[in-house]
Amino acid sequence: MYANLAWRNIRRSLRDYSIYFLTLVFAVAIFYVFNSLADQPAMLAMRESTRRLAEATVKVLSWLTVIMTGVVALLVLYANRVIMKKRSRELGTYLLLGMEQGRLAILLLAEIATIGMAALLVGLAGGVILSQGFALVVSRVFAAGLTSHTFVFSKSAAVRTLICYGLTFFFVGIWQAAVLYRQKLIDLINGSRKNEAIPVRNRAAALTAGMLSLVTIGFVYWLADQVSRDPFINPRDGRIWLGMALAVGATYLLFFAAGGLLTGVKGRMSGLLGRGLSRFVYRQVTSKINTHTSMLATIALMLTFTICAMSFGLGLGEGFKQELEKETPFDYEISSSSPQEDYQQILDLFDQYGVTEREEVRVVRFETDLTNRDLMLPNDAAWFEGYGEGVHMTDLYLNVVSASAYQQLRRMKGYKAVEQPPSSFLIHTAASGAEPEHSRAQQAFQRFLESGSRLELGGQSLYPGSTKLYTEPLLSFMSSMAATLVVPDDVAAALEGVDSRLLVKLGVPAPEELDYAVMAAVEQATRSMEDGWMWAEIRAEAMATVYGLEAMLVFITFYMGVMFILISATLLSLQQVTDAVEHRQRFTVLRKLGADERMIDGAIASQLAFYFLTPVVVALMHSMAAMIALARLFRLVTGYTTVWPATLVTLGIFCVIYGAYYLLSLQSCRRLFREPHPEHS
Amino acid sequence: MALPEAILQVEDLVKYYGDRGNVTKALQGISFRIRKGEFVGVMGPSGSGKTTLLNVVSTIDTPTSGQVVVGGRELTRLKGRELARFRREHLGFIFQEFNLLDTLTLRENIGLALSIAGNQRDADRRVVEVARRLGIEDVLDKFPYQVSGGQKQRAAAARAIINDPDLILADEPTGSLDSRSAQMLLEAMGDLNQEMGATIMLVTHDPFAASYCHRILFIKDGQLFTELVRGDAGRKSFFDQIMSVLGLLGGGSEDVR
Repeated sequence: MYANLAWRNIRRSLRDYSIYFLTLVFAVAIFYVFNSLADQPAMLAMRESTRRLAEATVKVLSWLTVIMTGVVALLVLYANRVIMKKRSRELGTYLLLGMEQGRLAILLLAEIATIGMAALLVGLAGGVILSQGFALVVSRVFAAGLTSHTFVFSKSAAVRTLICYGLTFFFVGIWQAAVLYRQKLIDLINGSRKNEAIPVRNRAAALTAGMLSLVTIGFVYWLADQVSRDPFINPRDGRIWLGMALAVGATYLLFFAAGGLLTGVKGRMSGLLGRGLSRFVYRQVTSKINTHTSMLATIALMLTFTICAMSFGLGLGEGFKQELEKETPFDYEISSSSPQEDYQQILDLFDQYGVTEREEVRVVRFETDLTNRDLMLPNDAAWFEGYGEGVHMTDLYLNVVSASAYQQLRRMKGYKAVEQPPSSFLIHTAASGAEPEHSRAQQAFQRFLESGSRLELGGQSLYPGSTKLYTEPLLSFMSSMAATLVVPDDVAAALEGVDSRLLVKLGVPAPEELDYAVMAAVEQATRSMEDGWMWAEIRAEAMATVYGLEAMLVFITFYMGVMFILISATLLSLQQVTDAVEHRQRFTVLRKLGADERMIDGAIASQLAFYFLTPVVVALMHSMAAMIALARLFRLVTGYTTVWPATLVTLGIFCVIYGAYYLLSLQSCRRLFREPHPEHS
Repeated sequence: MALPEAILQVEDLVKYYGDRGNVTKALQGISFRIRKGEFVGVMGPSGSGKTTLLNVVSTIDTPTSGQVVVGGRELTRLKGRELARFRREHLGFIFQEFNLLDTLTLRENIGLALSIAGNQRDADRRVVEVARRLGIEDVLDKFPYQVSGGQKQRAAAARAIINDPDLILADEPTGSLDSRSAQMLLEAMGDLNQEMGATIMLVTHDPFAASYCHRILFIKDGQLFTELVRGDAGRKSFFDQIMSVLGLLGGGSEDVR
């Protein structure tokens, strides 16, 4: 009979608390999915350097998931309190019929444990299914180039999930049972009748709080705008922390004020509120805001964090990738301190590994006494003397390359060929960056070219071959603050070389082993030299690192974001269930007053929608301000605008999860309010 | 003729609620007895302390001072297991809101009291027998939400009597019922009292329900105000007597339905 009783209660619990159960299933599934990362087949297909970062990601994620399990445990505890409150009369009845309190506690423990275990198994199964799709994501993010797809089951992730969530449910069960064990019978019997206290807010205080919070929020937005215009902002800058603290405080204040002010609105707005059940809905929502002030504010902040962190995390990863495209335009850039280096040894390696489909060019950098100043009109040069401290930009020595090497570089990258007449020079400089100094320098070079000023070099007098300044990303030194001078080959031949580079572009991807062989050869060469060096910049290797970094950002922000949305949505949904008893009475009264089912359904839907949307509106407002600032800062620092697409992705994910919870709550609310009296019959 | 033994003995019972600043004196030293086989009503205006009295007698609440003795055992001395055992062996409950479990059929709800007591022998037969007596035999396999309020309350009465308790405590059992269902329930309770010898303490503010009792205790301000014994009077004249005492008691006629 006891077992029978427990089983029936569980079945009812499942029906009534589908939201709670679903959250557990989701949490377990997500936990498994992110912990299964280590055993994803994409991990084995990765380059060594990606894998090392991926392993770090796995480590961070596994800690993060454990911490989040703690948060979920609190949520589960809260949900169980809600359930207990709703069932207190039933539990009291058992005691009155003479069940021993200890046995009742064990019954409850068994119930919670069973629901937990069920959620654990369903969640694990769901996680295993989800992780199949996750495998594709992992492969894509790490650019592992996985083609065949096998079924993935991570035993270690499954074990971790079982232990973490098993313990969570067990301890929550024990805790809840202990609470029940110490509960007084009279509180149980009267428990479900207690109404929640509706705080009466002082209108004047609410108004003051409202003004104060709006002013503070305005100030924080302004501060964010200010900070975002400073490209050299230190992440530990006091203004950032001040802004965050103020924003948190102001948000709580805002909800407090809203609760007080909205409840105080009298029936004056009869035009808008007078129709149908809108006034009823309005009162329902405002009374909720009033009673759940801090919870709503917390949810709004959590959602803000989620939207910002996810957008920024995803955007930053994408930004890294684009940055790298710029910094390593060629597949291989081997450099040597010797201008005479012929790189034959390296080229032999390519042949050895069968990489014959390739283009290459050897570039020598030449030495001169010329500096940036020599490419500027005197007026412009003078401006720089007065700008900033330390080494002036005008004192930087120019890089010089030969015209033939330059043309070859351009051809290999697919840039338009540049006409360079004999006895002429071209200027190549970095694309305009964040520093005002930089764009100023570009303007100065431009004016120099347009003035047709001549330049004495290698015993020749050179004139500007073009009035155009070239800025395409070609070589790392060509993207530096010192301008690069392109001179005719015969002029270059008369100059002294500083160092040299070999640039290689491949037609097909090279085997990973070739890269290791190249790196080994370069290292060997450096070691055998007296005081020279050789260095290899391999794009695939650098990319692998970036993919690893990007993946870390993507997975961590993604995990945090999804969990936060999940927790927020669950809290909102649970609130509805908690108040179901009270609401049911109100809806029963409405029915008796002649509201038909369609009106009631509509009222439930809009009440719920308003309730769900309130924190979102605030969160969107905050994130909008934060994202505008972040995007600007991001563009200033990296030169990319990858944040906005990422924001769209984030909002999409958010809408799906949040929407699902809204629909679920709607369904369960409608069912709860429709049933005449499901519990104490 | 020797009087039957006292099943319930309440001595100088005091119950205060609240904290130092704001004390509600719900019971202020009330004393009375209920003998075996009696059907006693407890009446009084709202706030007179009748629900508190019932809560203390039914072990739901503990008194501030005084004694409650049921079947020779002092309730305040009972703890934990003993208390649970006492509840299932000596007390039966009927509430205004029925307190049936909606996950169980009526048969299971009635049987629940037996199974909690670990008293499974002849369980089915006994459930059917009590159900027949209360006229709910036909709906035994329905769930609470499938039957009428009156049937639910009779099922609750069946659950209260099934363990053959010393004392049945009923808290406004007719409060949620229409007059016809209320009448059927009260007749059924009268039957339980007459034919099965059940001792019943009925808390109500409905004079019609009270008119089924043998004796009425009137409570006001946490103290016994007066006592009315039906004796050989018919139900109609007893009802009139109750009405006149209630008039004397005051406390708002809106409480009297």
